[in-house]
Amino acid sequence: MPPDRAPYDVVVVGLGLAGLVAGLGAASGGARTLLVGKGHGTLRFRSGTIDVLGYWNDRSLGSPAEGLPAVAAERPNHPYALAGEDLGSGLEAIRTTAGAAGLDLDGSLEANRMVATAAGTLRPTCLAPPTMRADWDGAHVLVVGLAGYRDFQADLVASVLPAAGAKLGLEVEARAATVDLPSLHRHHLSGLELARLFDQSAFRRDLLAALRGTLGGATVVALPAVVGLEHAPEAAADLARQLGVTVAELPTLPPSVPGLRLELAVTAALRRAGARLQVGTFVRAIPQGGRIGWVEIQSPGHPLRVPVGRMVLASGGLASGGLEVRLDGTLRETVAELPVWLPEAAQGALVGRSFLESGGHPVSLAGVQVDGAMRPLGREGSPLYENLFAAGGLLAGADRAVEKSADGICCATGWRAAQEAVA
Amino acid sequence: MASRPGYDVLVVGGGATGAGLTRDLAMRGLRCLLVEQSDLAHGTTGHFHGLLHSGARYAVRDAEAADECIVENRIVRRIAAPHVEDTGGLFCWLEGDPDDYPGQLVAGCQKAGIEIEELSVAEARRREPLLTPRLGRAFAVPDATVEPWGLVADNAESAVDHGASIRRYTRLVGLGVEAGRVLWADLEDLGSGERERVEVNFLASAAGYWAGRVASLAGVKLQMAPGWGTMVVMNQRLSSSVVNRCRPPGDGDILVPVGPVSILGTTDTTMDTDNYEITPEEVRFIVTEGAAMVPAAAERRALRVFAGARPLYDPGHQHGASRTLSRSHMVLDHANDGVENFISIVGGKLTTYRLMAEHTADAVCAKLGVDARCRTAEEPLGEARKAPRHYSLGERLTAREQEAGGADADLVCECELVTRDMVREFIESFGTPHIDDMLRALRLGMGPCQGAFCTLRAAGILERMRPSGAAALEPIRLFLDERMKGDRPIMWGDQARQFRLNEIIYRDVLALDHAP
Repeated sequence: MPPDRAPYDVVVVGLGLAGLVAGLGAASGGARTLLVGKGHGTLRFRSGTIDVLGYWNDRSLGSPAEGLPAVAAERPNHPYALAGEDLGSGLEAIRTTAGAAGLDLDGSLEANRMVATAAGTLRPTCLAPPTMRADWDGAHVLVVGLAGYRDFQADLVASVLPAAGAKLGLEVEARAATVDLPSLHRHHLSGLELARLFDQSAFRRDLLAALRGTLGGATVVALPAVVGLEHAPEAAADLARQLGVTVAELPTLPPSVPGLRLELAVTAALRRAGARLQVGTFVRAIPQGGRIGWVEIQSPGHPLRVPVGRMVLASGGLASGGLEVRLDGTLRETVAELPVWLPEAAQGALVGRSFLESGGHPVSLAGVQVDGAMRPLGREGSPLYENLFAAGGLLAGADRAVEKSADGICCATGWRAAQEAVA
Repeated sequence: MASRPGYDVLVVGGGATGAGLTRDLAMRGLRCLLVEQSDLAHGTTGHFHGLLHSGARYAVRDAEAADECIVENRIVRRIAAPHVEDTGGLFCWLEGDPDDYPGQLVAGCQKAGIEIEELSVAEARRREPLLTPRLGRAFAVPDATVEPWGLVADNAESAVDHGASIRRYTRLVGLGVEAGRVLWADLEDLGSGERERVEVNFLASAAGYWAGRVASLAGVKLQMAPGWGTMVVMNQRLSSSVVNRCRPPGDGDILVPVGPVSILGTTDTTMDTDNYEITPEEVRFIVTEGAAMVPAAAERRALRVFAGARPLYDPGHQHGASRTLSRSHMVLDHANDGVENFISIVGGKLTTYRLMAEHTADAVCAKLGVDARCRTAEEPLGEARKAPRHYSLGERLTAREQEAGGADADLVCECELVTRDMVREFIESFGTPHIDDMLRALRLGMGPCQGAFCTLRAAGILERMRPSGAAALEPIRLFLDERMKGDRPIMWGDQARQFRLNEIIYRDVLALDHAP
């Protein structure tokens, strides 16, 4: 079947963090790059921080660097065991790209930092925007809810935060206040709408007026992570300056505004670098001999066939649709029908009895097995296609939610896959 | 222990039969007390597929059950019209099914007076476009569906109107039996833990598969053989009528449209337990069998699974598949066991709940020397008195949406249209509820997103109204674990995907796994 379009050097399937990092790697290496995906990636569901490694074997890690050697030694198929050397480069690619758009990501592999959440918990992350890097020890926190916004419950946060701090040996005082403004009186106020309000100085002025009387002796004002979209750094700095306190953003339910900021910064950079992005279409990879011959992009009318030079598969895990559970309890990889590795423990039951099952659910470790060059492996353990590389959430061997490692894995493997694809 | 003046009859068990029995007795002028250890319709009544039998399912093998079903089907349609949806039913004979069964089915239905009509395959497919290409013959029968919670609530309300008392979350913990008579009962309020002794003149047990335990309190041995049936709730309506397989009744051969979802059923496992554990294998079996009739069942999303226990009576203490035990009900007079004023009703099915209540009430009245006739078949319940209209799909959604303010509503749960005010009012009236209580009362968290959003919101509202400090996340953890039970056996397709997304939200982003 003849292809419909002129070839790209690299086709990246998947628009989550791994796909974006791979795209950056390919485009910055001079490759003609196409990024295509069914939907937006899980950045929009997550915190907008770059988590690298928060826990290993249920032990809290002071820094990712402290845990990485143990990961490599104890879990040979963990993505960090295979692509850990490219972690620094992948992180740097994201940090530089975000920074160029005015979105700073602070931190290093030498330290984890505790970020507060909309549940009042504190979680470890590696890189975070300045608004998520408040010093909680000794803080007097005013947790500010916004009337009409359902996904940030200030009372809940203020109740839990001191206990979460105490568990880590931090002294945190917190109380809750809810601000009601006429501009908040609209239906179905979402995080995105709020972020656009925060972009406006008039809204911030009203908010400041309402907050001044309730500050008390607060040193930190904690808000849902919706403080601005296009003018986020400016919005947060403006509030902090006028209130004379630290402004902290707490990640909450999707859609994630900080994740969206990051996604917009990276996709703009990709377009500037000449990459083409296509959102909203499902893709199938079609093998031809020992390689992927072309991708078939489902589009209205007829499927487009785009010939593939090299391909990076970054279609994500179970939540993203890159992996799917069949009725019989086996898993399939949805784009290229690659074999999916399932840990032995998952062959009895994919998930445990408790939602927060200690150590995670067996199915979370499932995924595509790759070699050190990120090439998917067949059942016999040898690479399946010479021009296919895989990255991100669909890789086997890591429970990202348990380890708090999702973003770092995307950066390391996305970068490595791109390097192999442009080599 | 406080003591209060006695009742003519203490009814144990707030399912359809117990509520129907209390109503029947109260209408005959007896002073009744109904006690239920949980919420009304919380047991087998609330865990069935929703089918109001025409009797066709029993027409070949059990003529008596078929006769009862068609008579009661017509009565329930009349007295409880708003809770019935007139879906109609189809029996679908597929290539390879026993050749002689359709003939037997038609003959059995005609004998029982069940209207049955053979449809052309084209007509059957016009009515149900998702039916399998293997469809060879199709027969229409007057099956319908019935919503059990409303049915039981109306029976309970009518009983109270006729002077009965009803106590929920109250457990029978002891019986005083002297000289072959039950004299008093000890009741425990499960909320407060307080106990109370009430004098009773007669004891009627409609406790379903717990009947054996009630009997043992009176020193009577009654062997129940609970037949557990598993059902799978599919995320949408796959048919507009009840779809039955046209072959001898077995596992996985019915598909029942209930409101906006479909229920695939069922299995049959005899096991004397309170916590039957559903296995992924039986769920896959049900879905695969359902897909033989409606292939789309295998591709669509399973939303929940649940199991209910048929309250079957095992006079011979046999074990194994309970489908061979009688589904017909039996009124057991325990005078035969040495207790003069104690009757149990066992067996039966929801379709015949009213008849079961009538037979039991007849027996109670005969023993008490009360000469009043049953009127439950004639007098409509609740709304049916004013508007004898059947339920239709969309009606409730429209009403709920208007009540909730439509597009302007301040929704906590978008899937089930639960507003912030509804949650607040429920907390006001309940005390300190679990989020799971909100699910049963308001349907919060029951929809396709499986609590992804409303769980945090509900916990926040709860914390604001009933501050618990550092324990504020406990309701979230409990609820997520509770949902896990109905989720675990259906981990495939979109349900598995939603589960992982919810895990990303609650374990990863909100870090509940290391919460204080």
